[in-house]
Amino acid sequence: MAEKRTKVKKNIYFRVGLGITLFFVVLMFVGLIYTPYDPNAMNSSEKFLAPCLSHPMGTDNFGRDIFSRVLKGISMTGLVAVSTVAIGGTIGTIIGALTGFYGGIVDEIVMRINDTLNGFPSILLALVIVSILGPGKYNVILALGILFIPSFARIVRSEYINYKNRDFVKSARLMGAGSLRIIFLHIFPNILPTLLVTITIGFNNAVLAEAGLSYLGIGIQPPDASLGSMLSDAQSYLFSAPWYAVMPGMTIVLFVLGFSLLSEGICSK
Amino acid sequence: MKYIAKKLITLILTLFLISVLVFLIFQVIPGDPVLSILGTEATEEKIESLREELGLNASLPERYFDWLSGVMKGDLGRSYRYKENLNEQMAVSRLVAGKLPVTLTLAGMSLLFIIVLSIPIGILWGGTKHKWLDALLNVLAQFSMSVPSFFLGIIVIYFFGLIMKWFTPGGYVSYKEDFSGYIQYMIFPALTVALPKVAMTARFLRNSIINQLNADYVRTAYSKGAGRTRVLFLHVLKNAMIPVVTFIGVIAAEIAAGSIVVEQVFGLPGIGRLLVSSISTRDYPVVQALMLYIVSAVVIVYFLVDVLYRYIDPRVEE
Repeated sequence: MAEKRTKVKKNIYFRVGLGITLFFVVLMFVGLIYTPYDPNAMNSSEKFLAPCLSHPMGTDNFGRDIFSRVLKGISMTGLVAVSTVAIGGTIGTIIGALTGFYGGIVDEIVMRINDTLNGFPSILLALVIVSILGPGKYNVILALGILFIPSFARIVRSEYINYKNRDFVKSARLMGAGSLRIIFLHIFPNILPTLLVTITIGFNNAVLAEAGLSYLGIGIQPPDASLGSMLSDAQSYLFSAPWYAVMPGMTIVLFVLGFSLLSEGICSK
Repeated sequence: MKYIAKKLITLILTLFLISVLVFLIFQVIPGDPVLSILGTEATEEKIESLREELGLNASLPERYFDWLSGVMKGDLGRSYRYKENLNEQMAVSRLVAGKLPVTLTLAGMSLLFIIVLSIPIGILWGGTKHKWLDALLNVLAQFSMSVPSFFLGIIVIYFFGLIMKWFTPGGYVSYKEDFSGYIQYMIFPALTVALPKVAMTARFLRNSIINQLNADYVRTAYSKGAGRTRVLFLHVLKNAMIPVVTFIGVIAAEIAAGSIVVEQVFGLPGIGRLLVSSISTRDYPVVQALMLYIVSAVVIVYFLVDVLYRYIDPRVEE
């Protein structure tokens, strides 16, 4: 009974999470091709308009339409998240697969490094890498991409260790399959569910890290719109225009909440 | 003892590796430190003499050991950006020493808030029989964990600073001028750092308590006639707290990271703000020193947690 109840609850998590995430995916593509106003067009006669029909999220200190900028920010954040997870996921999966399957001294060393890196909060490591590469869109992608390698490697490695002595692997080997064929064609499909959860958590972290770096002023640089840098601009006008902070802020919260509900939902499926 | 010695050796090795990495990373950064100090219009002789003075003509291992012995003595080089007086650049160690108390206060106060708030909430949450309370706390925890700390800080400033007027945003006073005013101002930044971690720790304690409530010794205690409160506080809590202690230790690293962002939100002149501004102005000696400090601090905290865990729970092997 209790088990059934949690299953139903988790299913709701999954549905709500999927709904929010799909909504954001749509907004991301919309933001790429269409915004109601030019997100960078300044209009000094329309500064600090409260949300109204023509500007659903109001306008900012330069009279720019906040809704258009939030849309652009979502596509930017989305693109950064997709690219970083693609970089970290691919490299991390390959490292994890090889070290987990072959084991040995290389595995020991790589995992020691991984353990050390895993102990550190992601924003701290992102700061380290950005401090070396310098701020900017592509450096943020590179920094976060590198950052995600260890978590993927660790999870994929433990899956490969789990599968490498199973009977289906042995029988594939008896039929003459090479190691690489076994790694990528036989074992890999089995770890896809775990990988999916890791990818959702990765998106979650990527959105948070990008927003954090941009808020600190060392992530995405103006004139590119970013939810994080909008928040830091909005902070100076908090008293006169609270909506300027609330709109990008709540967007980030919803974005993150969508991914975390989704990953919790997939976990129990 | 053997365990601690082993851990200690690992710690020293890790610290050594970190120092090598931090040193090497800042060797490969494009850009010449001499030119950043003197500017591009300096004469050839001046450049050469400063190169010699900074020891840049020595070999890589020599420079590493020079740098390391400097670090041991507290000499971390000089900032490119801050000047001590007209013709001298400020020493990084002095710069850091001036900012360190702020960050330590922030981290210490947040840790205090986490302990003071999360333990009672966790006990209430784990011990409750009411479904609605469990659900309410769950929603609150989920929410406070998905709000990023910079947005949480802005919400706190808006609500407590601008609406309730409990503190003046941006009204930071130095601890040297007015200590009680300083502490008062630090309460809200510390709460901002602490809140998501309070949620995590309380949830962790709740799960730990619920786990323990299913143990055999609890049934025995009940069958001997002990009441629910007695079982919870006298029997369960002691065991349930063990993993929580480690958890709080692990959170220490998160507090460090949280402080970096929250200092920026509240305009506190601490290490985090120095780090961020040094990254954007490419003041590499400062960035290098702070990296070394922060990363070492995290590693040392983990070591202490390991040792402490071993001490409070002797069952732990390796």
